Amino acid sequence: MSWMCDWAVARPRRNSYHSGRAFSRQSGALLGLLLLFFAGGAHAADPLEPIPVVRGAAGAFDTEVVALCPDVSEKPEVFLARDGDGLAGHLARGRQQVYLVDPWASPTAHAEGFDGVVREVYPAILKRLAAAGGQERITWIGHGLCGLLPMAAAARPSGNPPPVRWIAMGSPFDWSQPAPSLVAWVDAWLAGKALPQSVMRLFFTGFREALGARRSSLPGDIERRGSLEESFELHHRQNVSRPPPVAVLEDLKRWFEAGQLTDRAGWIDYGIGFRNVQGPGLLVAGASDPVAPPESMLAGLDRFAPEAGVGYHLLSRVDGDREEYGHLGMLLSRHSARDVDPLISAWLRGEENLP
Amino acid sequence: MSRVLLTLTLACIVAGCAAPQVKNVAELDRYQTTVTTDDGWTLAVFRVPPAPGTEAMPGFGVPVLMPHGTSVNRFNYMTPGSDLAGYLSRQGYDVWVPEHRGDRSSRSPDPKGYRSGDWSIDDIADHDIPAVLDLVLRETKQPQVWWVGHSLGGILGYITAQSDRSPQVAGLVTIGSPGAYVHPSRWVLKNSRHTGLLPKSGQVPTRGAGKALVPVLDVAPDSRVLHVIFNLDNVDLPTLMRFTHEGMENIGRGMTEQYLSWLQQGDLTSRDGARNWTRGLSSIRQPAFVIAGRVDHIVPAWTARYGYEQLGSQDKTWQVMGVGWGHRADYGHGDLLVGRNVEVELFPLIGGWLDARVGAATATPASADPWEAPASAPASAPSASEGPAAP
Repeated sequence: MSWMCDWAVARPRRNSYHSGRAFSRQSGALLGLLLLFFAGGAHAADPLEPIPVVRGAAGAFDTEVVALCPDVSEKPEVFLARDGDGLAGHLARGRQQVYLVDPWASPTAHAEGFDGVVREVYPAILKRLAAAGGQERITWIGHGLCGLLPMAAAARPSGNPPPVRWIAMGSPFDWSQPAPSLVAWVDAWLAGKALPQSVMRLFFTGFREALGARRSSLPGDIERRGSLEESFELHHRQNVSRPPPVAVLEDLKRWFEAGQLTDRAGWIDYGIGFRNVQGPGLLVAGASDPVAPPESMLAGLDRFAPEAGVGYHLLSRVDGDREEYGHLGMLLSRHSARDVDPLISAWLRGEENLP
Repeated sequence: MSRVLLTLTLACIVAGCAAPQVKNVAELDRYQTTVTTDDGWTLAVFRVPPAPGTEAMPGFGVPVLMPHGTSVNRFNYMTPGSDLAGYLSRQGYDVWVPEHRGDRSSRSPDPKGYRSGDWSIDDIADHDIPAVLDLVLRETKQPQVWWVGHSLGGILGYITAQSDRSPQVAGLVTIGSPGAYVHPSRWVLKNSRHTGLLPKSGQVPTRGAGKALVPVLDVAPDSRVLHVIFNLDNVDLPTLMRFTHEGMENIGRGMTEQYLSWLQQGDLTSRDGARNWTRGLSSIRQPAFVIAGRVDHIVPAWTARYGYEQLGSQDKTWQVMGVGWGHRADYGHGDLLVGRNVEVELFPLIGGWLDARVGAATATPASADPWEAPASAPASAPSASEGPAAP
């Protein structure tokens, strides 16, 4: 019964996300605010330092290390933003050593863009994860652009990052036909303009409002306000997003124009890493995701070496899920707790037949 | 009930299910003519001539051939509110909508031939389409048609554009048409195993299944089975209910078998396997506009995208219909033609794409290149006083 006691006494600690299940469910919003406060302090100290997420008893160091890495415009807390819990809480309760990492907050990302993250930040984070978790075995779960880091690192001729298991969620592999709303969003950021309508069109596709017996999948504060574009934008700004590094946005712009993922000097084709990267890996695509449409992720799937053991999973109603998941829906939708979290857990356990 | 649903589901793996409200049938009959194929089938062909006052438009008098999808009929394109044929007519185009063998309007030379359901996509491509092409080119006195096809209608465009009839196709618009069945979804893999439920001969009764769906639509507007065909958040229920009454046709067993073989092998091939139409996509040189629905589960966007990638056309355009692409909803397979906003979101894209090219195509000088227009200069568009030939 000791673990129950742990839950009962659990409280937020500096530089970590440590909370109890009941506590988090009852006081999710308040806890989220507290955690953001503490997390902000941690980031200011060292943006590369992984932030542990603890549910229940801490210090179970015989389990593998799972790193959760957000997309370029997201706070790491996006993995906890679903009712104060999210995928991070789910995995932590499964006795994984869960850490939130944030390569996009590093000075290198702001100065050198994606190249700097691949060359310096990603290997440094892996080393710190190994040290913090006491494990060489690391599973990297990246949302959006973060899902590309294992492949991009494997494309560097002199790079030799430690092997990881990886999951890429909503990560675009084909840059030749980006969705217009994605291009508009990048252009707006580079021009310093607000583009609230693109937030809903880009990140919040697939959410479903209540209809008859069907439950709404909208985050609670949006549902209370009504599903207006402004509500999505406000929710996104307050709970999910933060300004992306301009250097990375410039990289995105360059990739759109070139139709491929290369470094700034044009010397490294990061696409080579698809053939070099080790597995096992899993691609998780959202059926309605304009950032990383299924056809974009499948373009990547076809390029991995067969021996890498890379799987593909489409989050779609027709395949039994509760909605046509979009880019943030796979993390924030209320349905994702039943559709996405068990999928990730099952894959981490090595189950062959994923739910 | 489960068998009905399963049969419908299997059928709809391949169905270009779309076409809602019923236009006045007598009005449609006014546009109807018939054509006889070289193997004796009689097919209905519907012509929607250029609307009055369109003489100055770039597409005036340019013939557009619009074969329909599987398990549906002319209502695919000819219904108020989602009337692509009417829309293009109002842009000046001379629109022709043929029906295929096996549709209620068709007549087989052998009564057993209709009941047997033993026709295939090869038969439509090799016999129906050439007869229709000859009719359209003869009646319009034009050397080429522009092809607009939804689902199977687009596949037939791909097939024709790589056949000896290719010079008669000026360009292609395919809407929810696969280039190959790559990466089939878990749903397709699961359901394609149930082939034992298909009838041993005759036709797959999708028309009856469609009518059986009416009560399901009424009580379960959030049905997952229907979601395979339509994004139910993007279509109006009354439209769907009317569609199931008039817009659906049975599918011949031969066609069903061919679709199932495509699902198993990936590539689109002739029934005997001798012709691989997926590989042939690279030989197509015509301008092409490939349109996919973001949440199309019959022809997922990546299968349409595969076709786009394989096309040998220098001038090719890719378009996804979805929220991230500036539209009001993510489009499913059926709602690519009957979605709430197709008249303002999709049809103008098609019209604009055609308008931007028809002038250039007719101005192209004759060339020895077999992939370009034939040596004979295109006939000029009919003048306003001439008007279209009487159907």
